[in-house]
Amino acid sequence: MPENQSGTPSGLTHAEAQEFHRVFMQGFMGFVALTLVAHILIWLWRPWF
Amino acid sequence: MWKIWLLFDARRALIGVLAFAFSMVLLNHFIQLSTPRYGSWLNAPIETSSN
Repeated sequence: MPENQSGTPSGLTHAEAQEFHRVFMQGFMGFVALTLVAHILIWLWRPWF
Repeated sequence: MWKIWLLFDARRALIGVLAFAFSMVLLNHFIQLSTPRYGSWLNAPIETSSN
């Protein structure tokens, strides 16, 4: 018994899920890139090995 | 992979992921602050350590 028109548990349609995923992954890649830069800078400052 | 958003509510998942990531970042910064090597980036410069 679908709780909503989209018929999915989350309520998102396939198109909405794909669009959200694209934006979610962009944000995640941004976070990873930022963290990578931070770790490179810290390594240049004080290597941990 | 996008099909995960057909299962999990996007808003709740987003809040959950952000809260988890924030707590991990907070924890890691405080762990680093408690180490001798990196524990002084706020309070005092240690003598030149690159020897």
